[in-house]
Amino acid sequence: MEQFLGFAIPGVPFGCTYALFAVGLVLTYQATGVFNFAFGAQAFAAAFVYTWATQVHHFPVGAAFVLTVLVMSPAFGLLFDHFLFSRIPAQKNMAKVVTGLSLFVGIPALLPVVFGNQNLLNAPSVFWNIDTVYFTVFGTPINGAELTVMVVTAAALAGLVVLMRFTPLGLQMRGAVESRRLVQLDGVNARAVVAVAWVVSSVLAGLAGVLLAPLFAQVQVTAFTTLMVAAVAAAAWAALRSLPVAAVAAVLVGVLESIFQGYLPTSSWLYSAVLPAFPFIVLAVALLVVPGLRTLETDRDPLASVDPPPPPPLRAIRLPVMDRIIRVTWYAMLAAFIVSMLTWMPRTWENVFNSGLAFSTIFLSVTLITGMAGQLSLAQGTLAGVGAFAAAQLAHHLGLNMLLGGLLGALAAAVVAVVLAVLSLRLAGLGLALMTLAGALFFDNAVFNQSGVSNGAQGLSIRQDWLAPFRFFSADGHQLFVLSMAALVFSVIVVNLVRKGTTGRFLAAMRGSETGAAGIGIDLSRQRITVFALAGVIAGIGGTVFTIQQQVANAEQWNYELSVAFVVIVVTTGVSTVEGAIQGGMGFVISQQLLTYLPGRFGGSSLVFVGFAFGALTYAAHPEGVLEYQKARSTIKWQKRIFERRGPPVGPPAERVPALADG
Amino acid sequence: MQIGGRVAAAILTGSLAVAAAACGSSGSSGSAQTGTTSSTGGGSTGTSGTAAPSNAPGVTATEIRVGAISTLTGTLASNFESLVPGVEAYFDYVNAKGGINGRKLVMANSLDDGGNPSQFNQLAQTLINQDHVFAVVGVATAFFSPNIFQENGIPTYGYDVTGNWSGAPNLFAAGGSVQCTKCGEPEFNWWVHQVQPRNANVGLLALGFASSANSCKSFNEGLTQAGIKVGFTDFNVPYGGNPAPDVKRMQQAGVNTFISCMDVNSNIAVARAMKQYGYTSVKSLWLNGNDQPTLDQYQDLMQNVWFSIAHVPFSYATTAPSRYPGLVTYINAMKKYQPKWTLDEVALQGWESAALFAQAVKAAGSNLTQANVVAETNKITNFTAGLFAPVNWTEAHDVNLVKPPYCAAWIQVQGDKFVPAFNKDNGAFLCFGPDVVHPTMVTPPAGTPGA
Repeated sequence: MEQFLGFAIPGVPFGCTYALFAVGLVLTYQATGVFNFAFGAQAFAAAFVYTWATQVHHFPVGAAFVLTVLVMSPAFGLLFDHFLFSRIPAQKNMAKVVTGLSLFVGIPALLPVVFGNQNLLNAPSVFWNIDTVYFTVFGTPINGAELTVMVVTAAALAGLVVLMRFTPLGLQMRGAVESRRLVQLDGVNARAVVAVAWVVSSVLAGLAGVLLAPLFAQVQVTAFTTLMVAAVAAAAWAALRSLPVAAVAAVLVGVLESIFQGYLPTSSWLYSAVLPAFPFIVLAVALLVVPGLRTLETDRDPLASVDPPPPPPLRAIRLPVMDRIIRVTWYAMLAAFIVSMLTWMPRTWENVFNSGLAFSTIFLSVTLITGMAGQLSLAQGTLAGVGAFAAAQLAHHLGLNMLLGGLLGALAAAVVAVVLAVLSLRLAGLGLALMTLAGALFFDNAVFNQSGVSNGAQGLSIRQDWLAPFRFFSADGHQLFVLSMAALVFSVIVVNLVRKGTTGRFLAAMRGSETGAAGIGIDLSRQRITVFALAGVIAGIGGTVFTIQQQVANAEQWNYELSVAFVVIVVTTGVSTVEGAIQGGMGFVISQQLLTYLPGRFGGSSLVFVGFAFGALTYAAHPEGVLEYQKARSTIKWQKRIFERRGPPVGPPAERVPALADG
Repeated sequence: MQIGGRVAAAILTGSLAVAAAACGSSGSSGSAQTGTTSSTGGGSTGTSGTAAPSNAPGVTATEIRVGAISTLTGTLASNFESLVPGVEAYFDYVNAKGGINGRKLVMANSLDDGGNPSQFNQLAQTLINQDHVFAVVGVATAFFSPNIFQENGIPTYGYDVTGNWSGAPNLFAAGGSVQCTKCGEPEFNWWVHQVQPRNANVGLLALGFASSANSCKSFNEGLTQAGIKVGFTDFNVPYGGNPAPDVKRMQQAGVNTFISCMDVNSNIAVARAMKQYGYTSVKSLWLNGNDQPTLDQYQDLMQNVWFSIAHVPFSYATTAPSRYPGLVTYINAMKKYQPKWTLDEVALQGWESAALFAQAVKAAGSNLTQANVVAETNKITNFTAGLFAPVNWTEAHDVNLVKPPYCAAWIQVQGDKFVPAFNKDNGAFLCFGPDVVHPTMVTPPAGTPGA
């Protein structure tokens, strides 16, 4: 028994670190209606600034604490609320998720731009000293940082339960989450209530960051996102509703990890593959068995119907004649692009555009799932990786030509996508996003990191003879461009066929109302599996093409962070159109290349992610994408200029104005 | 996308292998190439005069323009950003003496991959086809992909953390282009005998990344082969995980000698847990963490930890300057040109890369082509830059060719300093033969700094 407790008890303080995050996630969801993917990033920002202030600028600990937890964090909360989340109507759940994801990507990318590169070490403890053991429990020493985390977690839990359950403010917060307008009818300033909720939540994030920082020798964002995953799993077991259940679940995750780590043979498969993936398995199981997660985003606002409809897509507001002009212009530009790539384009830029074509192909899989099916998958990078690794390994071990292997890899990606779709059949919106995120994390931690898959840190180098008779690596030809273009054209055709075909109609119906679609006999499960499978194929093809370009298949090319970034990029440029995906792919690589002309001190590659992340923050206002929105404005302006002398423009046909998707 | 600590951990645990590779080398006889380099640390400089014309890209009558790719921004930057300053400091040092064969060495474009795993090829194409650099001197990124440099025959010099520099004749990683973990086995077994002459019981911890786990697996084989008891191994320690279970299991297994193949974050966490469990009599060897800022912050947890390093310990610059003029040259130049990075291990790799390039350019003389610089580099049999154990570039591209003796310097934490360990008469490097079972110290090869 003592042996058992010796392994179980160290898991308690560790589980409390998860609990602090899990409680924060549930609180934010309960008080604001937002699943705050950026909670870990907020905590990291607080830890970063706190350590920077104390270690680099020698602020007193108390002053740094006040600055980060009581000034900076609530300010962030107010900014998030005022400029972002308060502008998102209650039923626009996908907009909330995307906004959170944008902050998740943008905040860690922004910090080095603002503060410069910092190797921040040894954050000081706020309360009790980490290097002092205050007491032991069954032989387990409890140091100051662990004691702090346990005490603060318990205090925060108690305080928040009281706040949410037993105070008028808590009641108003919960009411405002369901319907701000209804609460306002009762004379409550709903905006202020939600703003307070964001302040409380952000203070908790800041507190978590500052308290946990001393646990890590170096303050790095990954430590916080790792905690976030376990916290999400715990919050899922609480169905994002119960603070105490979330805390208990988080501690249990910590304790179980510790027990497994203590008892499993370290050379066993269970230890090497399952233990690192444990939080993701816990999350996936929660999503499968916790009934409350299936109804998370059921619209509860009785006044939601007064919201204006989403804007029509650009193609619906263009005049037919304008349509023709733009189409001809596009074809001319495409022809010019192809001729340029095959003739005079400098090799550097040819390479840039080839990468852009491959990214565009992968991004089309996002268009298919998010733009057309109205679902959010955070595993598209993972699916691209499945395709790429399958193709590379088939070539490596069986000598199969990588182009043929790429097709098999695309099928493998489709199979993984179908498994994800089947696992999430009863989930929608946030639940689906979390399930796909769990899948992506599982692949990161239990599959892609296996040497047999990715060949370790160096990756699997792609050999020219795997691609014979083609010479894609040759500097003398343009075969790689032809391959990249062919893959993109194929994917565009697939997406357009789906859009115009029966499946596209069914998907449009599903976007509008899943209940209504089911009512008219549409098999929702089948449609979802179909669209996931097709998206898997496209992502797999794009992944293989990209890997051929890079000449190496590397696990880090396909980690979950990139999957999230992919969504953020496509959402910025336009998730509902093929052009949006292509603009996203091209914009991503062109902006990276343009930054090579600037010295690194201007922010380097990080600026690309900062830019796209902040672009995606406009998703709530422009769910069609910022570029798509600007294009619509320009189109209207030019239509007026060109055609106003010829009389009023003829409106678009009514059947060309489909509703735009939003979860 | 910036990639965070998980990759950083993989990178830093991989960097040990560079050290291990650096041990192996020298092999056959030293040659004239050693000459000035080993005595000055930057000695292949000088000889002003008129430069011979060259049609090579990036070469003018007065300049040789090179490029670099490293992670300068984002969360990984702190692991890599100092390599290019090391290169630039060497270039400044050389140029102040008139350059090489009448030409100045110029860093034309230092590109930043921002820790983005999908940008390396794009940047490589930029240097080759847009900037038309003569060579790439300074590669420091977790996402190095060799193919483009290999296909184009670009002389490429840098810091190997990915383990994919071997094989190609034009890729020159500081310390040797192979990561030879086997080469470290005799010295690690010897270290165990030194710190636990009787009843050694070794525990090995590695993160679940190939770069970390493979090193510790290799040491495990070596220890087992030598009949040294290995009481506990965990080659899948979760990054950022709870260190307590492993510490408790090592304690229960009676481990008295600990070798860590993990990153500095994990090392500090394990050291703290050991201390708080009252498990303090353990002799520890870390492969990562010999960094002064880290020691400044975690002195208490790092006392008596040993490190095996590939270069002359910095402390010899004050305790034995006349014996290590290469180190003195390096420190003086860094203080003058890049004072922020003077004692930085990655900057040292940059300096070494630049010195190797400069030596080859000088040897190429009037026939200054990329192919000739590659060929000249590969003729160098005893490269030290006055700082490292000799590297034999006729062998250093193929792990099967790396021959003993395997040399390394040892340092140990004492108070707030890293001090040389096991050394006799200020000899920085200890060299071993191939015998893993009975590790035998041998005479350092000719040209070894301080020998």
